[in-house]
Amino acid sequence: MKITPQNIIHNELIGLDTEVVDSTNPFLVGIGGRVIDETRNMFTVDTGEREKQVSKSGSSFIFTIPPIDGKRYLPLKIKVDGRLLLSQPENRIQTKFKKKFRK
Amino acid sequence: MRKKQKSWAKDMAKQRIIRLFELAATEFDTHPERSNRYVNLARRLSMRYRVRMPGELKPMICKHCHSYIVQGKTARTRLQGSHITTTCLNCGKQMRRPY
Repeated sequence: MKITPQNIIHNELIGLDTEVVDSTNPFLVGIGGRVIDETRNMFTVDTGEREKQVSKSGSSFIFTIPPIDGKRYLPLKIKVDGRLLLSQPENRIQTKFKKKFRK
Repeated sequence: MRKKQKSWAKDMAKQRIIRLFELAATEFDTHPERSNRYVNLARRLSMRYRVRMPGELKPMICKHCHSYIVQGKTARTRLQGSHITTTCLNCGKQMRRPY
């Protein structure tokens, strides 16, 4: 199953490129890099220089979906509210999708 | 009563397990502790959704300390009589399987 915008909240986020937008902590806004770890409440983002811990609640993320070879040329970007991802990574497959969080 | 699980959830869990093992293989050279973490996450996924670990990925996990195993680097493999013995160099324990 490929990563699509519809199933990104059920899919594996480790290894995707991300960028933090719209956080309640202004120091975290603009951090970009690769997601290297995920816990219930936090993402660990490798920015290239250091590893940053970003909390899921109160932040929004733009994930870059890698292009499917041959079909799409440009990598897709999707903005996800961090509150949608607020559970342990192994329990996130069957989370219910609430439409009011979608922007 | 046990909750019924959807088949697409099991399929998704299997895809995620394979993806996590790919990531563990790429991260092993630079950050070995990350690949241990990814393998642990994959193991938790397979237990949570009752998905069997794929046969080619099963010997890549230590059965005792659940760390990532690369033959020749973090494990030693010897033939002993009628079975193959793999020694994890992280915890020092042995896994045996017949051949």
